[in-house]
Amino acid sequence: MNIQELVVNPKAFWQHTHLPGDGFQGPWAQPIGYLCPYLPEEILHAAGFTPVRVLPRLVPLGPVDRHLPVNTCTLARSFLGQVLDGSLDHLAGVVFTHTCDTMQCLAEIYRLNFPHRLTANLVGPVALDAAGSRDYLLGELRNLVADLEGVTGVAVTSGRLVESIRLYNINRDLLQRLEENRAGLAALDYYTLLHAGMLMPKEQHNLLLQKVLADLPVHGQGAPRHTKTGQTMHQPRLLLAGAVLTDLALVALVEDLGGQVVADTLCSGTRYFDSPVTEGMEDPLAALADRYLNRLSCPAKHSLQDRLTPHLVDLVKQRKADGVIFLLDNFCDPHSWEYVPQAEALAAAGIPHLQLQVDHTGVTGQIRTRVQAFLERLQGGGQHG
Amino acid sequence: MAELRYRRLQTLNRLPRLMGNHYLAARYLRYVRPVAWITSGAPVEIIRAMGILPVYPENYGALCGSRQAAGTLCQVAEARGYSRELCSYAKCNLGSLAEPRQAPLGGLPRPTVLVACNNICGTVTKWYQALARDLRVPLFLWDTPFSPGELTDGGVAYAAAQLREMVRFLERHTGHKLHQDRLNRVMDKSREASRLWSEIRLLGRHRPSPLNASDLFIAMAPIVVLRGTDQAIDFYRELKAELAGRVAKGEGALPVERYRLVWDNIAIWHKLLRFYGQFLDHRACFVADTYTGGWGTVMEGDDPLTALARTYTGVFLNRGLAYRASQMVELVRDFGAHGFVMHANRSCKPYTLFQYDIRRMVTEQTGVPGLVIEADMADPRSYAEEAVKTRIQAFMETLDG
Ligand code: SF4
Ligand code: SF4
Repeated sequence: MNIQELVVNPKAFWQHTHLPGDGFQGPWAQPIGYLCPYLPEEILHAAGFTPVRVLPRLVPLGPVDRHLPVNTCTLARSFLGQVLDGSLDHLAGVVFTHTCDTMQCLAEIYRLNFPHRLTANLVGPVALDAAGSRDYLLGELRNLVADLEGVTGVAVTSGRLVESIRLYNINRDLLQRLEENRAGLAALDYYTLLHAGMLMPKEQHNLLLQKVLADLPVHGQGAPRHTKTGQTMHQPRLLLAGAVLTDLALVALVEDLGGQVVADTLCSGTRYFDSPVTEGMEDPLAALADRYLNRLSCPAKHSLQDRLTPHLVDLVKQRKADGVIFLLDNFCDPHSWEYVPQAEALAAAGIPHLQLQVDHTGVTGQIRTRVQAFLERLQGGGQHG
Repeated sequence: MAELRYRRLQTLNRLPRLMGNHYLAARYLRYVRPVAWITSGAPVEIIRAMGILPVYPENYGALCGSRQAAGTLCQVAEARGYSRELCSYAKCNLGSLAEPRQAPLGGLPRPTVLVACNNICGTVTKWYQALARDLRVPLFLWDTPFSPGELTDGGVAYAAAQLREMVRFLERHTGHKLHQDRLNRVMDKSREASRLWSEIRLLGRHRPSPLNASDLFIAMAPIVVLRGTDQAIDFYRELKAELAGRVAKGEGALPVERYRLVWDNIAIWHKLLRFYGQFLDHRACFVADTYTGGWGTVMEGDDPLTALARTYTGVFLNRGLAYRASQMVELVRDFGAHGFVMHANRSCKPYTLFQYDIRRMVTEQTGVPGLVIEADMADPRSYAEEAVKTRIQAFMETLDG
């Protein structure tokens, strides 16, 4: 199996020991699942686990209907589908964090239906700059640490947290470098590498990234590429916006049809590794709390100043993107809400966008047609002739 | 017709005036007093005590639903890019701002400030952010952490710390001050109304039940909107007396009460008579419900802000699955129900998403069956009349069996 096949199958991935760039000899610390990056992975790591992000997969959802109505997001339904079909049996448990109404309910469904599995739920603040939010979050992080210590019997010491933070910061830094050089990789490879890192030990992923970065030809951004028929043409430069990338085939499609993905604001993209944790603080949990509060926020959170929309518009300009594709889950409320101000801000800045509804059906013919039409529109736009 | 056989409560006839006056007051008094648009789970006691007029967009959403205006207003909001899947109350409100001429009452009087509390859902966070942007009005979001189990001291302390901040926010933007004695007075009135409301709801335990949940849905407007006022207390005293009179005479809400049911989730406002009428045809009375209980908690504790923080953080929609299931189990047992009906409300995810698990748990623990009906509280577009009818019919037959 190659890495692309593995990355969509977390259990096989986990069992697979010979990854490219692998310099490690297992065994790895036991994997533990989480869904949303508002959960500080460093805490799980310091508690002796390998945090593994559960990403959406196209699994049968019939059994999920007993628990969740059909108007629930793909991330939640697919998570439960994977739990029910045994795809996640290799995990020691799943640790949730409160983000939205759906995640809140999903955590509860898991806890009640699988009472013997390890689980915890970090209910952090929604209002990031509210009075008392930092104290409250710190208290909740301490409770999470205590819960995990209770299960493992391993003390999550400051020293262990500091080491985990170091490891994760190295990973963020490498991913940042990879992102800056993403023009040298096909989008599918880029996102595969990124998703792979969420499934494998960071120790191992760091080695893999170092190797990839060393081999990466330095590409000028926007260098013309060849289409499948060999001619050069202007490739519309695209930014992908949205939550979790539900299907890697979507990015492959965009590039197969002649687009070039030059940036994203995806939750399983750049927003996963932006903002390092401050090192050298006396209390490492406080440093983790600060990252939670200050990272580029998710639409499910609230802050006095909306940073996400200005960030989107700035990023489009900075990367000279020709347009934005929103990958929206019809049933994801926070992102559906956020779509309106973002689309309006893009329109005001004269930046075209396409809204794609993505769900469990994956890449449909309709999605293909709409992406194609959007790319043609951008090519015909004459900006780059 | 079903609704003709239904014994209407006389006290409810007072409601159109009472609520009409509320909306009228907001419309005219806004020239002399600041107006706050607030969510149903916001601490209205503070707002009233500060002399700010509270206006409830959710109540307005229900009104749009019952006046058959929700479908149109939702479409107006959708034309702007808001998804079909988003909460219909929110879209009624946003739609009414864009198209006041299509909106009941011409929409709501414009606010001076916005206060949202996320104890009911994450939707209000996004909805009020949208309002703050569109109306250029300052927003205070009160973040009350979800409690999977018991409320934590940390969560309550966090909620209380923000309340102090909220008071400063309101003082800054309205120029009005919070006086402790006024707050205490409003909280006393609010407690009194909540106490009456929960006593009224408990009358449903009588056989036959003097009230049906559809009465409660109509009667609940003051507990949401006029909580903390004398009018709410007067109204509920009168309603309670009328219901007690029925109990004394052994008179039920239905001429013949054969089945007793429990209702879960927000009312189907756009079909209030038609939908609940189908159960009357089967002589089934909704003797209790989870929805209207959201306003029946009586605040306790000495320090008013901590009491408010604890009460509002602990509302049922902000609690875990086990709590919600045990609440249903208690209603089924205490009210002697033969079954329960859950409205899978496509607008409201926190209320709906774990209903299937709750249904299973409640049936396991009580032995009574539950029916899930898919609909929407305000938007009639998600309502499949025939399918609903068939499912109700089949469910009632299982009760007969
Ligand atoms: S934020 Fe959206 S995608 Fe994520 S769990 Fe919530 S509804 Fe699902
Ligand atoms: S999502 Fe539910 S709780 Fe929230 S505003 Fe809508 S109906 Fe009310």
